[in-house]
Amino acid sequence: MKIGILKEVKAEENRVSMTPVGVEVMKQSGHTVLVEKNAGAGSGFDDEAYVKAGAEVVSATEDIFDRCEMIMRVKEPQPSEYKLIQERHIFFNYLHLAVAEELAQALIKSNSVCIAYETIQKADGSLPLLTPMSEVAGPMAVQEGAKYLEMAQGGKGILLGGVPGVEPGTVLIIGGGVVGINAARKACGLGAKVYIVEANLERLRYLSDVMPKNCFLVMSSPAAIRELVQIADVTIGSVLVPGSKTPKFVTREMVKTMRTGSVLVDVAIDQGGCFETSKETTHSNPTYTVDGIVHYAVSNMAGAVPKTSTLALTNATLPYAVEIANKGWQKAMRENPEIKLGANVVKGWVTYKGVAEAFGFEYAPVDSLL
Amino acid sequence: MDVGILKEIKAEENRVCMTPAGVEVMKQNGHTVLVEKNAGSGSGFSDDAYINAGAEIVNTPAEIFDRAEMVMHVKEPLPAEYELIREDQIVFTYLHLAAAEELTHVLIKSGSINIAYETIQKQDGSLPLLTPMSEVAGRMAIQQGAKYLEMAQGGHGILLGGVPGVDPGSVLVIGGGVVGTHAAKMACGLGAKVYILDMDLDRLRYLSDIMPSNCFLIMASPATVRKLVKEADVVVGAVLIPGAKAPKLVTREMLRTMKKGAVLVDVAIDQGGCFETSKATTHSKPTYVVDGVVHYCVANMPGAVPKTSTMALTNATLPYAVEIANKGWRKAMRENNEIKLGANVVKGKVTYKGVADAFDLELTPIDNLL
Repeated sequence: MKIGILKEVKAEENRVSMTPVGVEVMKQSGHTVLVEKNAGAGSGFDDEAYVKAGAEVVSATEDIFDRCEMIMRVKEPQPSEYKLIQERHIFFNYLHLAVAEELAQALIKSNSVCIAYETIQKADGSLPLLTPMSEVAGPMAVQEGAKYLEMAQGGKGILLGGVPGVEPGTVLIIGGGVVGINAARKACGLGAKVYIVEANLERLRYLSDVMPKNCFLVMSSPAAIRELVQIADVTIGSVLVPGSKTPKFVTREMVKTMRTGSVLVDVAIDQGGCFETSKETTHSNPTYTVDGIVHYAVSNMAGAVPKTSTLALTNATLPYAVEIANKGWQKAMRENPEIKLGANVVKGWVTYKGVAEAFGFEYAPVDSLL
Repeated sequence: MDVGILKEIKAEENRVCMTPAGVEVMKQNGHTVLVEKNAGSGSGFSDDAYINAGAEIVNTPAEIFDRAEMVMHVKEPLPAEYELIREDQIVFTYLHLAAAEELTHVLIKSGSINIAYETIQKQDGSLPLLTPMSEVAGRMAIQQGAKYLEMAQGGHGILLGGVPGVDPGSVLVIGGGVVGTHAAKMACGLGAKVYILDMDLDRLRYLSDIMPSNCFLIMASPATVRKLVKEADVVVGAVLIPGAKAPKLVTREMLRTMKKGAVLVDVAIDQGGCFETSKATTHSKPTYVVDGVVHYCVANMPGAVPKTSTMALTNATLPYAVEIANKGWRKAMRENNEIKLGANVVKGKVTYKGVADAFDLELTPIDNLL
């Protein structure tokens, strides 16, 4: 199969969807890989490295769409590319369609096969292609929280970990999944008082086994969140409902009760955000203030550390990409339920429930298309 | 004694040198405390809080200098205050004279008694009024290093702690004192590979006992610095020679061998900096780039987190301030060797060797003046 690796076009996105190491593996499986010029530059991989690994470097985006059957990218297609998507294409990347109606419609119209990284799911419910980016975003959330607590950044001017004789700050983490646990680990490592609010009691028990003693575990409820936001210096929203819009756990009313100069970091902003006052920001203008509370809501947080993110992501995506390329999408979905759950829009049908429900589209189970 | 608490006037300095809790203690010892209007506002203490503790609020610094026998600041006097310092007035604050020739001459001319926080020293060689700020600065250094490694901030785009499957970053801490130990603790807590260089073998042994296993301890030498800067993602300059200029441990030549997008954090910038390419910056424009390497050289790092810093600093300064106020400077210095070592410029004479050496001025042993 011919596989195309597109350069990212979204602002400040420096990741790339396949490294030269991945190209080599694809070649070994008998595939041809086309890589757009400078696709890896932001992650430290030059065109020469791709050529050495056996890729063909291509100048024009159109060439990739014209010549390839499977097209990979980190972020979703941009409006200028909608018309390039053809019926024979397999699109394999992050899509986040539940918050992108226009894109969903463009993909339905294209009749292509769109497999979203973020909804590929294992039997145990875990999301293997979100996990690595969650592992990056969690620690980054703490890094941003600590930074924006500085007074020159709009924060109240405290050091998250305190010092001997001065109380440390309090970090509230809403959601004890991959983002939450990785954020909590770093916040604990800095010496803060850390609360994780989580709705799953089994998960709370597990966290209580593995987390350090400065991590406190609380069963999630509106009352618990209402109480804890009032003492939190940093609140991290790390709740994910796969493929659906995130519920608003922190309401505008709760924000009003927070201490001035506290920081909210909304890691769920890609899915619409889990604070009522969240709106998407960028790395060049990452924060804004509502009622004295600094909001950090950069939608591609992991994009800030592209070297780490690219390696983490491609470690996880490559085996799926190879399987889809080896078997074709129909066979790959029939034989691997994880890939099947990645199907979002296939041949004009919305095959993912969360997306269909978000916009009132008709839902067609992907099994009917295999 | 009448004690005056000045408002800080240096840019972005929001600390205050005495909290309302300190005023209360001073009152209990029979002293009068004059506090400049709004002195505590940046640290969260209103004028009302000072009045409730028994202070008198005064509108201008001129009035404080005029009425108080001892004036306290956090930062050194600025040119606007030079004229106000009176003969026989006790000035108790950070001075860092070894890097400030003009101020040194002004203080000599004034005939005042200048006791520097930073050279007060205990019998074991520790610096009790630098320790709390070193604790803050050390912890903050890692926060800055992590932040400026982000690509949008000029860094090379890696996450300091890595993620499972991706190598963590490497942090080189030059100097294993208070700053270095606290920086290393935070970096280790984030999961980085951490190297501490120190020249004191006993200190290295102690650090090896208390630090986690991702902290590697190396004997300092130009050769080890030269070797480790090449692989480091963050280098923290944490070397202090009390009251003297910091030595330049990372030369311009070494800088050229570093990774592009690595970050240097010079915590010793208050003392002239320990990288050859360091020059002081501010919180509003904290970094600049030389040879592709991001330099963070904010002179008053703890000023960014004034609430934490004020508490940490005044916890340590208050007992000395009370002793000086109770006994007067002569008796306090005669009876407490720690305070005696704080004497930098007294009644027109330079009494601290590091300062005399730095500007080739005559040294007068303080004992001659007691």
